[in-house]
Amino acid sequence: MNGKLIIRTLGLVLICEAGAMLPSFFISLYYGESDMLPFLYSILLLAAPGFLLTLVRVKNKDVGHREGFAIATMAWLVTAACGGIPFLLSGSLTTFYDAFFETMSGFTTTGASVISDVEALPHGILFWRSLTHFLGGMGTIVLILALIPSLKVAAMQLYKAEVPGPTKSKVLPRILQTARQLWKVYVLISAAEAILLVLAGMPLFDSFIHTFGSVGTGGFSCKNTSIGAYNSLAIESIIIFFMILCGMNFALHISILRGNFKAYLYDPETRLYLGIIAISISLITLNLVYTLGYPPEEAIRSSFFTVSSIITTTGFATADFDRWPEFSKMILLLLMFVGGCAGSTGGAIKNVRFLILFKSAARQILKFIHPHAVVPVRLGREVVPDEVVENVQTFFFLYMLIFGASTLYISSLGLDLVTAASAVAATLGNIGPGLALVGPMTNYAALPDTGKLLLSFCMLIGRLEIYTVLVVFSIRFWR
Amino acid sequence: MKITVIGLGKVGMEITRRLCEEGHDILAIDKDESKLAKIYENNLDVIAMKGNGSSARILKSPEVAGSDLLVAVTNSDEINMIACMMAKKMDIARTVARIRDPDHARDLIVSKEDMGLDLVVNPEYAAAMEISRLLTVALPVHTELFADGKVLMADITVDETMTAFVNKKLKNVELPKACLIAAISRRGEMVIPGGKDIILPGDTIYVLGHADSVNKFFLKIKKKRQKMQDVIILGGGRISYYLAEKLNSLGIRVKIIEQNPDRCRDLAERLPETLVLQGDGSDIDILKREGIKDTDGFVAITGIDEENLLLALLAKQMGAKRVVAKVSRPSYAPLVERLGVDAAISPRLIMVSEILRFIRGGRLLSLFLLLNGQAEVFELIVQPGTKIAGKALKNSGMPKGVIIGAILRGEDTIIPEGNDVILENDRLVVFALGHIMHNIESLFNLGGSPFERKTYY
Repeated sequence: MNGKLIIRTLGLVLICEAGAMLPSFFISLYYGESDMLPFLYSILLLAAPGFLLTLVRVKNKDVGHREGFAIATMAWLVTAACGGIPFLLSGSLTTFYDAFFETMSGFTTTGASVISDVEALPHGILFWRSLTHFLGGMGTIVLILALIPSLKVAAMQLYKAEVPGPTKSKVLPRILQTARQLWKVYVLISAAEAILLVLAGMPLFDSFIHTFGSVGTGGFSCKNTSIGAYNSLAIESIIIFFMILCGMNFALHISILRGNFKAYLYDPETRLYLGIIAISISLITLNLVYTLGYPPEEAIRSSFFTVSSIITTTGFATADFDRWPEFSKMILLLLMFVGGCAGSTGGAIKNVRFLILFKSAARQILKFIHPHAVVPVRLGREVVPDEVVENVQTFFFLYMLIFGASTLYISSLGLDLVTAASAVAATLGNIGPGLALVGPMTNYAALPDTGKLLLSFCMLIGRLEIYTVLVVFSIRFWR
Repeated sequence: MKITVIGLGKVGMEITRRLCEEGHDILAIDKDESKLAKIYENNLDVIAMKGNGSSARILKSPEVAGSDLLVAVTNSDEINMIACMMAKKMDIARTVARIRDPDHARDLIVSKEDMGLDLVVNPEYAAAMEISRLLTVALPVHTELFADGKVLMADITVDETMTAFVNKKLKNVELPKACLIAAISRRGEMVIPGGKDIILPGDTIYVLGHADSVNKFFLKIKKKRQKMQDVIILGGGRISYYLAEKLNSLGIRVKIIEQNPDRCRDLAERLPETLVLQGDGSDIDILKREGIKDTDGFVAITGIDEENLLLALLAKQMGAKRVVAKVSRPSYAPLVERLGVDAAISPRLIMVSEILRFIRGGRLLSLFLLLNGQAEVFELIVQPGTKIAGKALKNSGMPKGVIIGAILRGEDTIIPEGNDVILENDRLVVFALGHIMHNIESLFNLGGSPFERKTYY
């Protein structure tokens, strides 16, 4: 294990994080609020040790698989732990568990909060909270890779560790070019959304917050009632559009920008994703109209928004879907497991994995009829190698295993089944709001500290797609 | 004509032999000394030369220089392509290359001229198309079109149920107008029958004539036959790939049984609609489980002739409705009919006939080599000034074993009798036994370069 290189890389990560706090510091200066000094101190607290760590001399620049996994996991833990400092110093949050939960929720684009009254927070803190979505959405490591060319040698390993989707979507021959291209598209989409939101009548500051929340598929808002506070069809439509867009594979967006306009049409994953959205909306709309007697327009409007928000793992809310009928809630709970597409900013199991699982199940059944059949699993015309199929099957098993074990633990803390299960599903899938006690109009503040810590880890495991974290926590890794 | 043949594998040898028999001057090139030795073993009157046929050194050598045609049939597609490209640079007028790789073959359909290839032959592809045709035609009839489809030759194996002509003398068989029984193949022997010959069950008869008449003839004996719906292919070589692709495109369900796991994977990846099964095709259990007794078609195309024949037989016995076997070795051909296998195909013969057809170019418009190579059917145009022109057929001095099957004059199709006269510029469909091409050539005065004529089938 190349310890010195890991330490030096972590130093770079800290400096980058300190740099990322600068905009929030300027905003606090502009508004002249109480969070000015906390940001200044935080920046110094991060930058100074970060600078010292980068002084470590690295003779051996070899980066293997293990270093890649170790750096990715540790970088995420360190950023989440240190990113909570401004919350603590400004007094917005009082315990380390809360601050860790909130920042982890930000960077993993979960959007689960422990802050009950966000409208009381100073602007700098609000901005920082949402900026973590933006940074975490495309991946902080991918960002750092794009910014710091000296990490070239480590690039491939780090990229693999942070962007572990089953289908590698390296768009350009070099990882650095890919990282830059991804960020370019990401920033472009964000700019477009921010401008549209301002045009739709949202205040400039709020539009930034919600842009970060939707392009990163995070879900932090600066309003206690989330998007519902604006009660504007235009704003909701814009946010729906961008949530769905960012739940799709960014490699596809890049091919569209390069003139391959049919990319969306022929991608089986995108088709499944859009299909699931359409079906869920129809079912929930019918359910709302017939069970709760909603007027059809309102039913469509809130189901459209909620389904988009949940499947893309964003977690914005316009309605308290916890009060919806059980059938609708069950659909939403299932959507929490589906999530976005591979290579998107969304989380959870992802559509492509379900596609592969369905196909491999069909193959298994066919094998009972024709024991000798050789049947490859296909995505569209592409053949999925058997190692990938196996990887996906194991992923699904581990996902469910972690879901089960964590739910078991949360319910042992005395929480009811729906709360426990939906809280784990919503954090593991990086969605945010769950059901019952952790529903869209409440938050995670009431959970015991150990519960918050466990859920924080669920977010990390979900964001790094299980393997990267589990590898680091396996015994063999350290031998 | 001076012809250079590169690569003396089975196909190369066969082509060399046939071209040599037809009186061409052949230069045969191969890297392998033992292959060259075979030339002498077979007593072929050709020059054999050792070397790499795609090298400029060899192609520039005085032996090769001035060739009219280069036939590249080594076992490497790439060498064949390069040899042809080089040959074009060395001013060899025509080139023929064997290209077997599916990917190359597909590209070459669009770009063969750019590559300096005049004819691309893909024996496996041609064989697959032939099998597909055999499986999907309405009767177990082998048909071949001549004269732009106006003349049809068809063969059918006679059984007891075909009362219209079984056990009858040929002159008593009622044939529609404008068609004749050109030949009978009995126990592997090809004969040109006279009026007193009797058609026996088990004979294969070759009917030649106006397309409509031949179709009418077969309509009489048409049995009720279900549409081909599923086919089991034994062996996963290139032919299987082309065949499965073709059958899938016709909406036919295909199962391929192949032993090699890697080959299975490759096929399964390339053929989304085909069910690929890994297993030993000679294992009865797997054949039973995959429903051999209900299958409409069974095709045995493994690399081993004996296995193909035996498994085709087995499949037939178990209930497969139509069975086809690949039999590369010409010496087995006579067996096929006797054993009861519906059809046998030889990629090598298909390929040789394709190349021969090309070489004969303008003078012989289309050529069809019957399976066992004992007979050929071809078209030609009567050149002005030939010996035969203007004479009645019975006085034309036509050698034994040659039948003029049809005369096409303007829009008319004539099935000639002894008193009919052949005129200049008639188009003839000729049925000939054995390798008597050169006899026919002198009869029709077909000397000189074949490429002077523009008509080329």
